[in-house]
Amino acid sequence: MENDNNSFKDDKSNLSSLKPTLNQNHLISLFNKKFSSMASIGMHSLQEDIQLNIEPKYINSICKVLKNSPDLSFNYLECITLVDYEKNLEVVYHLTSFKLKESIIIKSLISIDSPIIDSVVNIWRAADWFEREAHDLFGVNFSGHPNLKPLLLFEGFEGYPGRKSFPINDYQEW
Amino acid sequence: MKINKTINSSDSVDLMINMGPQHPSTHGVFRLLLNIDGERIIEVEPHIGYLHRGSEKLCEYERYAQVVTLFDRLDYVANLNMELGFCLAVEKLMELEIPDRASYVRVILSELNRIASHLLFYGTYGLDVGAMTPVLYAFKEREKIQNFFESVTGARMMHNYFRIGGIKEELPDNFNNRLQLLLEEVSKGIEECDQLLSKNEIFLARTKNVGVISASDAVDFGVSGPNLRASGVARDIRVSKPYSIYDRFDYAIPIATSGDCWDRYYVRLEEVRQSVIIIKQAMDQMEEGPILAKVRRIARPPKGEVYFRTESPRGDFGVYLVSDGSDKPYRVKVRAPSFANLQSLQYLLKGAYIADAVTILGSIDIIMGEVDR
Repeated sequence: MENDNNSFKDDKSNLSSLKPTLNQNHLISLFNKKFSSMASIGMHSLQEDIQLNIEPKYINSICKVLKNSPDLSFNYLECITLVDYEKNLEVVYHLTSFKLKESIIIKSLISIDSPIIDSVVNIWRAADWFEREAHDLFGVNFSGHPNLKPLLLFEGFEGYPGRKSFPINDYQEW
Repeated sequence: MKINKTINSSDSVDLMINMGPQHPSTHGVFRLLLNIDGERIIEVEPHIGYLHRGSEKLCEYERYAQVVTLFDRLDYVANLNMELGFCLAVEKLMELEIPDRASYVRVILSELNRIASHLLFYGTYGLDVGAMTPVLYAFKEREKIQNFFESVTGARMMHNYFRIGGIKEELPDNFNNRLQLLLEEVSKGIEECDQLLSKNEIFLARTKNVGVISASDAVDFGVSGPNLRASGVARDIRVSKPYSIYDRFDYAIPIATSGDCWDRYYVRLEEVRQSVIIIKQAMDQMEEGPILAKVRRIARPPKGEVYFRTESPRGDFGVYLVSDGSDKPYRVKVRAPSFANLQSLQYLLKGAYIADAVTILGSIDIIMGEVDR
């Protein structure tokens, strides 16, 4: 874990090893038509959902299309997760479309030195607290978020306890 | 209660009222700042995090088997449902086959825990709207379930009973007979509870058409579970994406339409009846057999990641697990249903009467252990 930290995650051979269902095949072709220039689309070996790897600058425009186009309508934002890979932070969005009964994953890598990504709170109101939590624990700045106040931590807390670099034992609270 | 007075540019006077963190109706430590104009709430500012223990970070420093104990402490009134979510996620990552008997025991105990959790909701919701008696009836039944858990798992709460690959130990000798008896008593108790409160005129007046949220708003806020089904959206992970052995049972998913407090309350009561049906079917189908898959003592899932959804009593419980191949998880993210459900409070309380604030908050059924993690 400590050495060679990025070796296990960007394993592209994992992508497209699982066979998509008919419904998913249709979705993949739709995604290819709409986002082929912006995203790499595939299936992860263990997650049964389609995964879109995108650049952080496209997140807002892609999410808008995902939610608003009638043939997709991904109206349910389940979760926003941050994963710390020491040099990079990965932002993971889990979306579900009630209409298509399908879930997808969107992933975007941002640098840990300047962790900025566009907020999606204007698309799903559910993103509000998930983004505030990520801002709290990982120090990610969601540009466009109206109220990035501390949520789980108290005002004036220093450091980002979600990150790998934050010590678990040597931390003095008082 | 602390009251700040601020005077607006207009003549009206806005009052800022602080509610909590130590307030009996907040079900834990939860603070609300209510900005009121007369009797109406115009702005709400929820403050959470008083119970933040850094569970997700702690998971990264424990072995997979030890993490189960941390999950017990997330939703502390539905411990087994939390354990189930985590164990299933790890098993999916390891591509483990679970013995049938273990799966049946898991389903029976998780559904019992769902009943216990909903009974707790029933009792405390009665208290929230000012009825003292229901809590006594609900806790009488819930106590029977907790005692049953104690005889099976060894603990009333914080069971640590589900293992990666199965369950901890074989069931006690007279399990089936005692479960049969328990189900009969609990079913009777539920009907009693239903008659006691559901159609009570004062209760109806306090909860009908109060705190209404439409289906599209609820979905937009990420609301899930009984709260979402009360708004008319038929989403239950047990049916829409069956996990474990939930596809082997025949049961209904209660749905209401108006999305008010009474619907949220009654959907839960109906769910208890359906859980009883599931448990009865599971009892009939369960056979003798092994209870633990062949697993190494220390679980080492391969490199990879998984997002596993289960239906906890409060809604979509998601576990996002990233493994680097070692004996400890690289990252664990808990998608707590209460966390997303609580977000909708700002919407629900806006424009409501201040007297309804507690009614609405109670109907969302939050557990702060899960919200703050």
